Amino acid sequence: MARISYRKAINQALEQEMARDPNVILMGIDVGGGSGGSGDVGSVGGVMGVTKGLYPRFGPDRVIDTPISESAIIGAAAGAAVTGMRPVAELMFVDFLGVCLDQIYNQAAKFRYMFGGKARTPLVIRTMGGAGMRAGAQHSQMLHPILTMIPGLKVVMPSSPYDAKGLLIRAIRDDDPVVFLESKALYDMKGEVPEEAYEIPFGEANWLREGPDATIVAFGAMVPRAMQAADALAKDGVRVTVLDPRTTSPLDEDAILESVEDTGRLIVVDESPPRCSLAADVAALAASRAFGALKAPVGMVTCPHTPVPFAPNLEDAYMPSVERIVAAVQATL
Amino acid sequence: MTIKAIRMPKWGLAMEEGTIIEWIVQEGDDIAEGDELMDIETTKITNVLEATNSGRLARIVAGAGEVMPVGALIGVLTEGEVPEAEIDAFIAASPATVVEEDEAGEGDALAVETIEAGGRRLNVATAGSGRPLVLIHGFSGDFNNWLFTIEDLKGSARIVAPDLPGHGASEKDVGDGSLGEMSDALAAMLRHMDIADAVVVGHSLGAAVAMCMALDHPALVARLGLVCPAGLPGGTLNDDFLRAIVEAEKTRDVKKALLLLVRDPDTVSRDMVDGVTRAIRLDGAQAALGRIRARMLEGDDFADLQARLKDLPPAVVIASPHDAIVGTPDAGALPAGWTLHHIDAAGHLPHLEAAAEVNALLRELL
Repeated sequence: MARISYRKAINQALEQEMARDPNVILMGIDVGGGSGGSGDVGSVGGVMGVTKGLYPRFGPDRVIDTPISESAIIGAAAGAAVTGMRPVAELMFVDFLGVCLDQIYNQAAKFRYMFGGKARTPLVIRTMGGAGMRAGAQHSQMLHPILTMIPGLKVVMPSSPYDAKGLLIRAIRDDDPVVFLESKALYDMKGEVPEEAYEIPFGEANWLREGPDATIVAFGAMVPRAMQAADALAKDGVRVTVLDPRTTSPLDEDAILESVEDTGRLIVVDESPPRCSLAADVAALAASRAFGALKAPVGMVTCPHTPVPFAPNLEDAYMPSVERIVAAVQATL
Repeated sequence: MTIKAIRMPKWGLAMEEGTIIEWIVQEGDDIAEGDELMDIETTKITNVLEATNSGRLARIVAGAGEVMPVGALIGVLTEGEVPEAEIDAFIAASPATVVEEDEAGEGDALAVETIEAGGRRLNVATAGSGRPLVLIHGFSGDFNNWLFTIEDLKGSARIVAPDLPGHGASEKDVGDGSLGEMSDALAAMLRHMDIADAVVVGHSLGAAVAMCMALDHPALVARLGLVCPAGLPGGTLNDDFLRAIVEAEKTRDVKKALLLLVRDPDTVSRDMVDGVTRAIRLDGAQAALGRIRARMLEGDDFADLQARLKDLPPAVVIASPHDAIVGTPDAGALPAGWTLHHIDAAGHLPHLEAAAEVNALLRELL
């Protein structure tokens, strides 16, 4: 099986779904590579090169470079979805969410509900987030908590190339609006990915490792860090379970509760400020539904309640580190 | 006086490291070739590592619970009197990791390729040289099911382990899902590889495919090994398993199905479950398995097979009294010259649960 990057896995999913279904279209800023500009069209494929090669293959009708207007991109895509297209709209950085939030939470997420189930909105919003890239406070956030709390939206946080491809194919085939939140820090991560198309269902956690001593729940780019922490803990004889819920909405509550009931200890790693985070959400789940099983307070490893700092040393300190995850697990033992 | 290394084995393509669960022997013990040394857990399965040399276990380098990369030194055997200092020097000089595939010599490493033959694209693993040994997995399996057999027998045979149509990384077109369709596909692949007169071993559905190939393409098949075969007289077919796989949506559905296959539930690791889940999530895979299942339940393939058993070359049949999927064949109904072996320490997967016993029986076929 080929080992490809997270970036390539996303590209492959888009290419295969576009080849399979002519209703799948892409739109966003520079997704084609800057048509209308002076550069070679199709040579760029977005700021991270994720859509590279798709414009030359599918052409300007299906890979649409848009003006720099997030509300126009998402609004047009939501409208296209209601008419039967399957648009994959790109919001270049999730930090720009505020500009188009009305189109997402007040329009796309509500169509099915307000039209009595008669409207389907097969819209995918691909976007990226996360710190560690020295990109400053306005290009480094991970805003999944804001998206997760909106009923009517599905929210996906892929943590590996295999998951990125299968979850994106699932997202494109889904009849509801899905936010596909990529982690900038993972684009170069490599892993085994089948060449064929496949789907990973939403709401099913991935058990990356099973151990009896504690449960670590981690999201997106925090998953590889949780695995590193699990390796470090194993050297001291502490064997932990690592769960990646894969989607924050729907959330695989059963898997989390099942594991907490086995281990009695829960640590949640979330790249987000702590208030109203997924860490707080999962901790509340365990406290309300598995309280009798808990042997220690739930550990929350999050970012501090500050904007993402620009100073490199502060940005590094902002992120949940492997050391902090290890310490949080040890505190529960 | 010699010093020999005991290294972390490589069981299958995906194995990069293994965890030593426990040493069965202790420092100072005299070891004979074939003795059980330790239990090792990989991401796929837990298995016993057997000694490939004899000698005294002079040193345990990696103890219980340690995770070591493939090829890493985990113990030291000595023959005759060897000074402690020499053993220390041997350990110190041993690299942390050894890339075993390159050292093992040409033909010994497992190669996986895609072959286009007979209008189909099939995935096939090959290893070793010598007499061709074709290994055909069962329903919803893939070539990896033969991990321990490949490892054990690749030194004595040219191993050819395909993924059946609809399975693993092979094409998902299974036609009418019949035994004939699958055996024709494998026959085309074997001819493309210039293989004839092979020892053909099948497991479960794969055993039925092997028998069908021996009848329809007799020049390709010299001898048959049938591990927990489907379709023999006296056997059963547990549709709880087939249906569970065809209809599985979640990983836990797959796990429930796989637990039906084994005697010891610990054999079914999370990664084994994930492997099957990944395979059946490929576009078209569950539909293909559904067609094969429908054909097994509603078609006449097994009845046709049973009517022609006496035309088959003599076969070695390996069955388990704890097999919850196909049961055990009726010994009295098997043709003269066939041998039937019962393996007690396994369910429907003796080539995984009791690999050493199965491999010893298969070795006799070569």
